[in-house]
Amino acid sequence: MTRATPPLAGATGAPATVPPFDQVAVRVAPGPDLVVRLPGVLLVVGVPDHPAASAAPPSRPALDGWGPAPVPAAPAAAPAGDAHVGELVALCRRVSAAGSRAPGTRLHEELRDWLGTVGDPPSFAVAAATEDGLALVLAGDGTAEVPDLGLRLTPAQGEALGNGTLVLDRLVTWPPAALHLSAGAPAGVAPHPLADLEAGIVPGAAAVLAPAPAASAAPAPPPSGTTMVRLPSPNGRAPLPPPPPRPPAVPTPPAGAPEPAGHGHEHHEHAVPAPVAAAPAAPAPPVELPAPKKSALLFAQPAEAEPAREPLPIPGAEPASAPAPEPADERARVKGILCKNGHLNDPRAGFCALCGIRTTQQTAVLVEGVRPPLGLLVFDDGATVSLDVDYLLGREPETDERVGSGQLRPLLVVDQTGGVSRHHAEIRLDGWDVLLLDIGSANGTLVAPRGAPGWASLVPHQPVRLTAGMAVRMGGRTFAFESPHGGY
Amino acid sequence: MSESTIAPQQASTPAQPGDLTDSLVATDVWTDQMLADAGIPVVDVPFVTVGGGIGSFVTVDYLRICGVPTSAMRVLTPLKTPWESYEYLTTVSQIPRGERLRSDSSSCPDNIWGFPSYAVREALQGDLKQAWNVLVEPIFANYYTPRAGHAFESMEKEMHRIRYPEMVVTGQVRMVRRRAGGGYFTVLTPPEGATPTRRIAYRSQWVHIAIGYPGLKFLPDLQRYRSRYGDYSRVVNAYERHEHVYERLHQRPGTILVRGGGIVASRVLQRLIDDRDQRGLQTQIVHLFRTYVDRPHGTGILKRRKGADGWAYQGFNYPKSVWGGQLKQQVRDSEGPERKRLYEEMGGTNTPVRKDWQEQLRRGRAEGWYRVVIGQIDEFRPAGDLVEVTVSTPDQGRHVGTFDAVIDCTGLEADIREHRVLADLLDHSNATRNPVGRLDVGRDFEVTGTRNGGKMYASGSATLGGPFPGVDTFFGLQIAAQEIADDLIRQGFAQKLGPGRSTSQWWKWVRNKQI
Repeated sequence: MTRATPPLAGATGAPATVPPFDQVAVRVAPGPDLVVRLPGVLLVVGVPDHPAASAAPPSRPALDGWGPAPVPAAPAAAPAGDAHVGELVALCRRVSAAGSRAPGTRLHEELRDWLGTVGDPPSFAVAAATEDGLALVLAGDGTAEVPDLGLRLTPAQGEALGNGTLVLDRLVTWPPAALHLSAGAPAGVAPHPLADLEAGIVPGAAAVLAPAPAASAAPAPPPSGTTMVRLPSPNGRAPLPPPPPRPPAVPTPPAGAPEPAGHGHEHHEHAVPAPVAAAPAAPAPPVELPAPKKSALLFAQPAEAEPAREPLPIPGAEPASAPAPEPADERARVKGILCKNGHLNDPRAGFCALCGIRTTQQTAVLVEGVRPPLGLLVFDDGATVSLDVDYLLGREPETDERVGSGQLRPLLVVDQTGGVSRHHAEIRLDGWDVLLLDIGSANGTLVAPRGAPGWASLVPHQPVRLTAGMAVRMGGRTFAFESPHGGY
Repeated sequence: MSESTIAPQQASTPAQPGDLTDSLVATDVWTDQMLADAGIPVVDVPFVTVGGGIGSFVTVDYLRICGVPTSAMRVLTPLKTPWESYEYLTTVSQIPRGERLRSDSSSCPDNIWGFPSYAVREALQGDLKQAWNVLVEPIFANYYTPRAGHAFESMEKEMHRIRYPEMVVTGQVRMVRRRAGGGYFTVLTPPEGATPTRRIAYRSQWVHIAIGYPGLKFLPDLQRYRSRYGDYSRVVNAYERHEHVYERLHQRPGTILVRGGGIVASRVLQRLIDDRDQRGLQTQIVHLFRTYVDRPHGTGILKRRKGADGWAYQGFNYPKSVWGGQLKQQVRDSEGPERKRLYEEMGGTNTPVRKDWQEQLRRGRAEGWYRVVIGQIDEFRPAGDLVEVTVSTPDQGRHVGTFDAVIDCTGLEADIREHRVLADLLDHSNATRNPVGRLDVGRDFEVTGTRNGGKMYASGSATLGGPFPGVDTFFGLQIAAQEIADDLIRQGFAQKLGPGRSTSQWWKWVRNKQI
């Protein structure tokens, strides 16, 4: 029942949905500050100078084989960690991992909240992707410049917070030239044109964000191949191992594949090293920028930015983002309709079983996909069995040869009265229907649809479609069929 | 998530005759020639209503009473009956036909005059208690609401009386576009094989958009749980079928987490406790509120809303003055941010107080099987046969609990862009959003910015935030129908509903005479 659906690897996700922000190059100019790149977020944060001498050199334990201890040299001014810098990086990481592909707006809000709580925030400059541009937040000595176009933003153009810090937060159009972000440190050397930070935290004085790649020509500044490497989406997870084969299910079946504990909390930790390993070799298709607005009211108030919309589907055409079917997937496939959000559903259903959107607004095009569980059996002792494959019900279901060959999954029905045959009945999944079939049991199988006054006996080998709420009785045991799908 | 589990669509489908072309999709205003080139047949009808739910029904009902013949109107719908969607949603959220509705019923979708009302009709059938109830409500009794079944049956009667089935055309509406030279084209996809061409275009002077809720939106954490663990049975939304949860509780005792503080939550709790009482079950209920209301609240002394025990109480989903009082006037005269503020003020989750479940909850609190938690859910995880839920509370940190099932009673509505027809209107027909973010309509429910020779109207939930609040109730739909009909009368499409016609039509209604 909790058979885990193998999740998508983030790195093989639909290419068209990855925003350009994660695909353009970021060059880092050497320097003392920190440059942080996370999916959707680019941060340059000033590292405050702490007198390194104040920290006593750590006492060195005696180590074998390292020779005599040298005279301890005074360490070069090692930048000390700063709590606020750490908080800021953690905040960016959290927003980036929180799932939105365009974290800019959210980052704005979170940073505002955070700046209100911090007495002496570090200088920083952060650029984050929004649906149709960039969200910039500058504080302290942070600046954002586009030297080619002569644009420059500093916190002085913003507002002062209660604690006196100057902060500028603004949603801007992505400039068609390189954007320099710095936290105030003097940039000594221009970055190497081939340098590119894909993800991670490195020291540097400034970060240069290349302009958004044009749809037609390759962008001039980042000729390196790495610019086309896609970061995994913030939700990306490493594929889980396939679930272990289920042991023969009894009316209290075990839980499905256990998830690693705390997986959800850890995945943003993986997010930084993952991209290099997970980068697919295939080049990404050119990224489409949102189409310009068709019309606008002249005297109305500026409307809120509309989120970018997917192109209207062209009927009969192959969806651009459909990935190749997984060859190893042996789960049953079935034809159904897709809801607007791409979930497979029973053609008879009015609302998507996964996300709840109406399915009736879409033209019903039948599409083949992996069948979701069609419902569940609730036994009279409260045990539930999820119907994702065909079952053989009985007292000794494992003795059937079709169970041995793996064609049917055994479902042991223990009955004290002895009224259940060794091979009693079969549950077959046929398309979106669940069929019940008595396979010549000694005492027969009874069914009662919801609200029916009494039981009806099944004719052996004559399949009956189970409807939601139908009760089934074999021997002294009863179970009910319930389904979230279709059939109303 | 499941995009990757979908095989590519059958690209081999041959281009059917009469399908949309790329140039049609990309063009805002269509000419007759473009459709002829694409091979899409064009049907002329003066008035088309898109949706076919209760919104379309009451509008057509009004126009039929105003003398418009059935041949002049078409209802384009995928639904079999006007109340199909509504009945599905009320049934799964625990209001089957025999239960009383929980929302406003100051109007009857089957009777534009509102007289005799549901309560009077029930009284005429011998249930005098309801007549007494409407006389003394809301002071000595809770507000009267009709039984769901009563509403559907009377609508069915009216449907046949106005010969509604003659106007229905089954299919999915793909888009509405403006026509060069005036009017609109409404593109319909009939069921496969029903027509020789894949699409049919309806050329009309007036279009009425009543597609209602774009859909529900299950919370992201619920969707995540489902796609991640493939378990659709233990974390459920109250607006989908979840009988198995109750079924399972009959078999063995369990603990249920109910999330949300609205009408549906009250109905789900009532069902859980009814089952508990009738069958002697040992169900334990934990109720999670995000905001806990412990006292009357509001922005002014005249705008107070009762509240206690976590719930915000209100007779109906809108303050009564929305229907005809000061608030109606205030909203009607407001624009922009001012209107948004008014909507926010009257919004918020609330539920009508009812004696029966109040008594049940009191008993539950006293006996300890109904407990309340305040906070937000961080995560669901399956734990054996149970669900482990992590809740972060505002003052007591994180709590972890295991439950047999979680019933999510929060009803989020999807953005209007989620609906293809509305998205197309925003992108290609100049429609705009109102201060609340839904489709902007004027006082006569004309979709702002889409006028093109004829007019395009919209009513129902998609237009929430307009000059008239409460558009997503029976009464709101009827108000919209009335405004639209009045506007059409002014344009000469229908006949004026003066005292004479109104009286004669009412007598026809009383005698159930087909018109």
